[in-house]
Amino acid sequence: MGRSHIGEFEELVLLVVGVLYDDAYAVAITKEISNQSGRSVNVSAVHKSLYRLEKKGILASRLSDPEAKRGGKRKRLFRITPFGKQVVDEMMALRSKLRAQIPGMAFQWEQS
Amino acid sequence: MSRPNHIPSLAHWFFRAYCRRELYEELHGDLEEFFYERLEAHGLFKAKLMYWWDVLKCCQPYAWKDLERQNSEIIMFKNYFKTGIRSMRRAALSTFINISGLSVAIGICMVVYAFMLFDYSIDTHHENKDVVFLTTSHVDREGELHQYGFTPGPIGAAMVSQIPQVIDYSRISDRQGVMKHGDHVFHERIRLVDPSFLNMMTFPLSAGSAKSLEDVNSVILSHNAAIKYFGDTEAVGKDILLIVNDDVQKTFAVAGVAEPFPDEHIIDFDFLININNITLFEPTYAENDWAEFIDATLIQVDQPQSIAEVSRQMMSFVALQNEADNDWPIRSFGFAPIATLHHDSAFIRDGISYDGRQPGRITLPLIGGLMLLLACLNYVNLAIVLATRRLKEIGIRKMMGAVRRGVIIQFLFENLLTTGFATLLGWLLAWLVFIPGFSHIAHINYSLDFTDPYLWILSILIMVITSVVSGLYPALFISRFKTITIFKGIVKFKSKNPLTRILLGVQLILACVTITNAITFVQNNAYQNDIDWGYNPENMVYATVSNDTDYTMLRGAIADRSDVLEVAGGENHVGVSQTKAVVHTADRDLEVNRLHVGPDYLATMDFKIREGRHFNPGSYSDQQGVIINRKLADILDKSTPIGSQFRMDSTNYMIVGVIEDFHFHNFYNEIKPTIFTVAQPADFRFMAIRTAPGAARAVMDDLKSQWATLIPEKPFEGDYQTDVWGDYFQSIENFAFFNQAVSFITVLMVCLGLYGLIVLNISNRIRELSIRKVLGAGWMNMLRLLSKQYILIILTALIGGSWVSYLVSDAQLEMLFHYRILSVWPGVLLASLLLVVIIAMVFFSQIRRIEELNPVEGIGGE
Repeated sequence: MGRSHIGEFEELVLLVVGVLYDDAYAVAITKEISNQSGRSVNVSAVHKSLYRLEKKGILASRLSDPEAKRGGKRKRLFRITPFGKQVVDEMMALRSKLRAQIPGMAFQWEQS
Repeated sequence: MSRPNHIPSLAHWFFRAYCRRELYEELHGDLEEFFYERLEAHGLFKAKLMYWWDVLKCCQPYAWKDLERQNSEIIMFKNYFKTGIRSMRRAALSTFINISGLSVAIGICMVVYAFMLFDYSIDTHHENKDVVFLTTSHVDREGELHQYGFTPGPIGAAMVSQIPQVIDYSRISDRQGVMKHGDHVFHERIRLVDPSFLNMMTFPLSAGSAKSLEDVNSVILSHNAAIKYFGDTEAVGKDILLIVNDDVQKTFAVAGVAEPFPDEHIIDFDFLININNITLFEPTYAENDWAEFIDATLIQVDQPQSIAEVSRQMMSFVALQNEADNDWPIRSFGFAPIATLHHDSAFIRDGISYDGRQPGRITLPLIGGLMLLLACLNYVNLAIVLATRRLKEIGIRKMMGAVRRGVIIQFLFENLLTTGFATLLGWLLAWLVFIPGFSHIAHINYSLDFTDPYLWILSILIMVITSVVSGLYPALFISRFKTITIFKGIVKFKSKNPLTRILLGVQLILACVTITNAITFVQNNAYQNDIDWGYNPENMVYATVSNDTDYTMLRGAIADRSDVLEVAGGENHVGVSQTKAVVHTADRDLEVNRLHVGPDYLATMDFKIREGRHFNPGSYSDQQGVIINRKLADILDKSTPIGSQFRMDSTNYMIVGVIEDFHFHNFYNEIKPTIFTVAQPADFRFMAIRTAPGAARAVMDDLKSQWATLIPEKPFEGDYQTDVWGDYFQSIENFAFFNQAVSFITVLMVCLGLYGLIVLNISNRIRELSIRKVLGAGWMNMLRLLSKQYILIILTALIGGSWVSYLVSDAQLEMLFHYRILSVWPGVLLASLLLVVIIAMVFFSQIRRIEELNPVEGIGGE
């Protein structure tokens, strides 16, 4: 898998960036993950994943306009790159392929 | 960027410290967004807490500043270190002055620390030091409430039975007695205690058991007492005889020996016996009588806080005591914990602890601070003058982009380097010189424990504070210059900085004070060594006897020696024993000291008759006659006191003679009105022996050996008359030495500072001076040129310093002595003169250097 290898949490972040589209920045992503997955997430973990994904070329970013609610500071907005889309697709394809290969037997348990 | 409201500033600062500049905005924006949301949702406290948590969580490599950037700062410090070492070597003289001054000051601070540490460790080796308290009683005496260390005898037992928080008590009674084992017979202090004493206090035994104290026939010895009586042999199990008042005797079995007491102790014992033995000393002592006092009552409570509750329940005991004893009504009881008893004891009269270290606690830290101050002043002065040499360096640094802060940091860092060296040297000095020397003077083993964390903390604190105090001004001063003015060469930078001169003035005043102190002390000592004692203590020995049989026996044995000139007896003895009496004249009552002596006593002691006559020698006919001292004669204020009468103890006495004033006590104390009356041989308790010049030692040795054969069951007690004041002269000698040492160091530091200033001045103006020399300027001219800027401040400082010195020295002598040199002006003048000579020497040594300088070298340049 090489260059496109991403971890489980990174994958989550990547997908959420896609979901949020035009408003994908650390705080929003953190909340979205918390809401959707129900697990408690610290913003630092999200930061770390975002910067790593950007370095791999999967995400691209730009700075927004300053906002009062964050003390007049700008925020960094992320978006998935074409390469990122490719990675997501490959990943999802791999998953469904593997899921399809699981024999029906594997899901049959003895009632006891 | 202004700091956002409410955000914890420390956390914010920390975040900024580790966060990369270019990420700061977005990252902190996120944190702030969270913070404000939480502020709304959960309130300020929780928001702050979570902010802290976020900051800590975010402290990860992705957010860190570039390591390379950090590296560059480390490299900068490496450069500072290099330039620091270089400039220290280039200005070797001022480096030497700074480091030597600072190291001496730091060394002295270490001594002060050792002293204070010792002081605060006194009696803190007791495990129960926070729960064992000395019970004190407050008594109203003539309108003033005094705190006394003694308490009614039954109070300890009563407290244990009535107050649940009090779990144990021990009474202490100190008595005098004679202890005898074989040939070893000595007067001793016997401490009577309850058996619980050794449980409450921590005095581990090296042999025997603490339980044995429950046996009234057992005694526990201190380590020293065991060696004194039994030497190297095992003491436990042996018998020792206690003799009280010549007639009561009781044999005790040694049941325990204590380990040596730690140096830092005041409460101790020589002989410890059960308190029930008190009837040996005082047959009528009533244990349950609230009117009987006991020297001390220690109580132990269950926990330190309980003492407040215990204090509240004491009023019933006050009532009990007042009912029993009307003469000495106690107002209230107090409690002093053993841990701090030593410090409280200045306010507790007749307590079991005492505090003789208060003067040291006050003066020593002052001296330490003074030395540090002097060293710092030197540093500031030299640094300002030295700065001229580094203008170009600073200019270039600034041009290369250093901001002012960078320059300040550089200079402070260099300063830290200097003080670092000085601290190391100071430790060495303290360890090798100051502490051993100080221990020698004080007769106490002070030491520095290099594993003591507080010592390290203190050293580092001193180092950092000194380097900031001494370095901040020069650093600010130097970094202020603008690059352009430096390179244009138009910096208005003369060594005429007014601050330099003011600091020099302060130093000179301090030097003047310490020199004057040292000189007046030496003068005062010389004066006191020569004061007439009012009688002749030379070639004089005395001994204590217990009755007239002993007196007659001893006299017979010694009087035949050819070097014994006169022997006289008395119930009292000058310098050792006297009683108080009240004299009633026609118009007033006077309290006087009274010495009851044999008829030959005054002549033997060489008292000088001023008016009238001595007692009739060899006869006891002057039963109603009295000889008074001049002080009393002056108080009576009669044209001729001879023949006038007064009443004392309902008997009439007539004054037959007046003697010159004499010093019963040492010079700390004032001479009191004193009378002499004639004692019968049956009353004699002292024997005074006048020997031929130089024979005192031989007579003393003979006296001791005669005593040992004639009266072996009693200890010999006697001394040379010149030693009646104990180590008084040694102690004032030590005091003078200490003052000399302090003044020597001060003067040395001030001189080094002045020397450095002048040398730097000369080297900064070397071209000017060389040219002047070529043009024919003589040394007078040079001197005027160099001293011009200092002469005014030196003169002002000398005049001001003299005045301050006068006040300080005079106050110090006044505080310490009652008999002292009348005027300290000679000392002040001598000190100022000395200072002038030293200053002149510093100047002339430099003038000489210029005289010998080849002008070509000076003009030639660097």
